[in-house]
Amino acid sequence: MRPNKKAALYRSIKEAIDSYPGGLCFSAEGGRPILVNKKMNTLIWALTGHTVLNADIMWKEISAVTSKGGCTRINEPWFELDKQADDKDSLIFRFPDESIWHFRRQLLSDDSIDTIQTEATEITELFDVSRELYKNNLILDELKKRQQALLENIVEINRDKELLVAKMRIHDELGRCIVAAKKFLTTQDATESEYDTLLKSWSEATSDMRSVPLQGITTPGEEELDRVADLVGCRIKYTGKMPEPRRVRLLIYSSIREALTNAVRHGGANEIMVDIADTSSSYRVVISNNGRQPITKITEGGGIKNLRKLLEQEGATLTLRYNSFALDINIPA
Amino acid sequence: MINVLIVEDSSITRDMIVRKLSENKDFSVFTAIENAANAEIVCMSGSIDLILMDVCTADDESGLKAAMKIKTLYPEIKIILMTSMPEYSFLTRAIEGGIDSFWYKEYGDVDLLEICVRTMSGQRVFPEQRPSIRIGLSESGTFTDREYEIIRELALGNKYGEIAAHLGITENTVKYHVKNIMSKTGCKNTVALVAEVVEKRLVLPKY
Repeated sequence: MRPNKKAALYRSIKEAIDSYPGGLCFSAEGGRPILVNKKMNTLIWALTGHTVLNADIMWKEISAVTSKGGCTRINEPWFELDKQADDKDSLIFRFPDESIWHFRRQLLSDDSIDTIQTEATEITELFDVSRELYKNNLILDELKKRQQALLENIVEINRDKELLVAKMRIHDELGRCIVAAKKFLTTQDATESEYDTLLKSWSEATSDMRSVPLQGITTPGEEELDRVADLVGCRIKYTGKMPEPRRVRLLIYSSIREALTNAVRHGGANEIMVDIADTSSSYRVVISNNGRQPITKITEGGGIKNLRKLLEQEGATLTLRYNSFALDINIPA
Repeated sequence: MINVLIVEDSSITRDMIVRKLSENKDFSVFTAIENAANAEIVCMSGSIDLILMDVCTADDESGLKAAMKIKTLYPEIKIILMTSMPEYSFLTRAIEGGIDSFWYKEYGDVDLLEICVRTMSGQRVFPEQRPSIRIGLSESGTFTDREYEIIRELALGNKYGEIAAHLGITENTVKYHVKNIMSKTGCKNTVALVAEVVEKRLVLPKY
């Protein structure tokens, strides 16, 4: 190719890449620039104070920039542009005009020659949208947490509402009782029946009042279990201390319930032994009974299967001791 | 004499029920407990004729699940489910689960004692309609069963893909239903919708 034709071709390529809205730089081995467009030089000038003289050095220089001449490096963990790219080949900067640019370096390789392409792309809009999305996701996460908490506690909240309604009802009832009592006391010819009605109203109102302080106070799980066991002629004997965490206690109650039902129904037991031992990492609970021992090997029915599922959901394990039909449970602390 | 087991964790409501039952000499309260999971043990005593069972009981135990189990084991025992929650699925599940009768504590206009008497005479007594609760711009009665299922899945925090798999429908169908629900209620997003249905106790996935 004649020199003037070669120069014309170079000019037309240069014009073409200069019209490209992003920054482009092609360099050879050792960082020698082959072709750099105007935009890349403008951006690099803002970051380093000079145009691209050597692409390798230029990359090292901009990699070291955190804040310079109104340009700041952006390194937000939530903003990930290219999962494939190595972190060291991808940089993001905010420029003084508030525009945000992503610089990316990659090797263009063919059989004969290796070329490094450095590209700068404006991502202002993408970055702003991503930031908005990230903020919205944070809000959504928070709302989701609140929603779950609400789901967990809604019944409890409802009990409080029920108590308030009950208190209002008692207040109204007492008001009516007072008015009726005043009328009764000032009336000369009150009948026996009116007296009985008044007495009944007062009795009901005071009974409701006595219940109010008890509202919300639930019977401890063991106490109610002991009581219902007693109704079927069975006694629960505990060895060891009932663990404090509610989650663990509820699992133990469910296990006792299952053991008790089976022992009374199938073995005619009248005593359930609950042995609780705790280590720093777990609680071991063995529940046995004094009922008739099974003659044949027991197959796991729905109750035990459900209990096993419940325990496993909480990371606990259940082993059945078939010779004594005891439940051996291990619950992580 | 009809022996009654009361399963109710609110002491005021429990006392009110005991007092109500004492108005009819045919009923005798055998015992009252707070946790539905213990009811099966009481039934083993062989002394229970009627259970008045709250749905949401102590330790988050579901009275509905306990009642259905008891009904399988002891079909002769009559069960009346009671709730102060307007939750949409309780009534349907109770009817399908073979529960004898159902009483809305706050919304019903039928007396509890009357339900007890009618239930013991072999009738199944159910409210004619569920309580109507306003969700956004819409009344709860305007949602279809499928829309309720979708709302319930959303309340459990499931994503569209998961909901589609659980309900055996396509993700596009889920989106279609969600769009309709949003349009009915005027809620801005599913989080706002779920917050409202849970706050108003129309959906309680735990039970």
